[in-house]
Amino acid sequence: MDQEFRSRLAEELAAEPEPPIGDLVGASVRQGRRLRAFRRFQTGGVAVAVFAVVAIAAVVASGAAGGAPGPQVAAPGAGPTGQTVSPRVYQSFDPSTKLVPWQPPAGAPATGPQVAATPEGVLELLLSLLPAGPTGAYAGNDDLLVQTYLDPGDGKGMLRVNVSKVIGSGGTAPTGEADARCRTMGLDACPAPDEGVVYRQPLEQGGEIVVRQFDDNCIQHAVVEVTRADGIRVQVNIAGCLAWDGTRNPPAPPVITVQQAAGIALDPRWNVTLAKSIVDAGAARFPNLPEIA
Amino acid sequence: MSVDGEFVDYARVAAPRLRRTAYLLCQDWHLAQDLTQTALAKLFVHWGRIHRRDSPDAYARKVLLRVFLDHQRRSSSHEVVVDRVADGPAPGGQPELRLTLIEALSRIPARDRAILVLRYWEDQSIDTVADLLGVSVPTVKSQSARGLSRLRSLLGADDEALLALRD
Repeated sequence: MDQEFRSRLAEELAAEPEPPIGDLVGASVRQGRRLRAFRRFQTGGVAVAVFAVVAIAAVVASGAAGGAPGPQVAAPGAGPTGQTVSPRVYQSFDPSTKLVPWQPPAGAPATGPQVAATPEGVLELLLSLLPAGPTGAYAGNDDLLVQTYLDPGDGKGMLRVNVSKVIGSGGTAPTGEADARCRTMGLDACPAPDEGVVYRQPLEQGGEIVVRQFDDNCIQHAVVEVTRADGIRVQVNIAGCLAWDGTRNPPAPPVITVQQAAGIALDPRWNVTLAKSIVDAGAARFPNLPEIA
Repeated sequence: MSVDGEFVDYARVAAPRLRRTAYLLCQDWHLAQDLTQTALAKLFVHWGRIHRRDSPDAYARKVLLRVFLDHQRRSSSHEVVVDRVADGPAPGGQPELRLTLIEALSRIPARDRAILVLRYWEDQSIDTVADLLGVSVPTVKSQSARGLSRLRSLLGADDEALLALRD
């Protein structure tokens, strides 16, 4: 019967007045080249400004922490205020809770010469922000989307993080322009403004933090999305399953809370450029990072 | 041959089918052309990695699906709400009034439509569709069944045999 369904679709398609395809391939190549150029310009042209912003943020953060960064000690389940929270209770997330950054992860490289971010570098930074526990199943792609498993002590789960620049630096773009830039950059993560939203608050420095929950998408069971005034968007996806194993996405409990994900997403170092030390460390640690399809 | 040249060769072969799939998803040839162009442009950006894969077709299909669903999400129109849809079969003996399968597809939610097109036009397994959409297998099964049920309702008894598909 499947064949009959397909045959009928084919018959109906054949009866449709299909317009000529024209120079579709040529247009795609030209659009693709513009995309490539835009990305190179974007990651290279703003590096100096970004370095300054990150450096200032790091200095401020270090001051707030009361000392210079030391080795990271991220206790499992430790929230932004140091209180112990269950790592599996994000479902009971209280929207009245104010989501704030982690205390700066001591010892994690914060400043230095900036270079274009790589998936390996993004993964390196992500791992430095996670609660303690074994990690693995690393993957990433050129869209700066990375994946890791984490086992906080009672079973592994999956996280995916994406970093992108959705609006121009120096101000907030009009909604239409932001959407256009999002499309131009070929981003997939342009959800409707209120899709799945359970929490939305402006950030003190401009921009906003949004929490979305999707019951029908285990990869994005809960999503914390920070869009800063400089146009950088950081999306932390808390999965309710593991990656595709060839036959299915095995179910797995979420491994961090929304509060913890917010702490990760609010880290000021996220950008489409990263400290060279982070990128180099990522390249050395993940010389053959598998691609997220 | 350069990597870009390899992409052009691939795209020339893949574009017609991708565009037809896009048309089944959106029922608009102009939009289908745009969706296909955007999907191929994205493919071009990552072709250096993708062309080493065994099956760039799978990646192309996935990108097209994402482009379509993103367009649906961004579009202010989303689904066209039709409150006078012929939920039942058209009167017998008047085949010109019968809904085509493509028209019927256009009247079900975009995500359900995508699942049906992937499964029955692109001949993808439930597992593959779940992977493409980033959802669980049970979700694909339930949405597939819901889409088929809606199609049956739209097409009527004459097409029961046609739609006796595997859920």
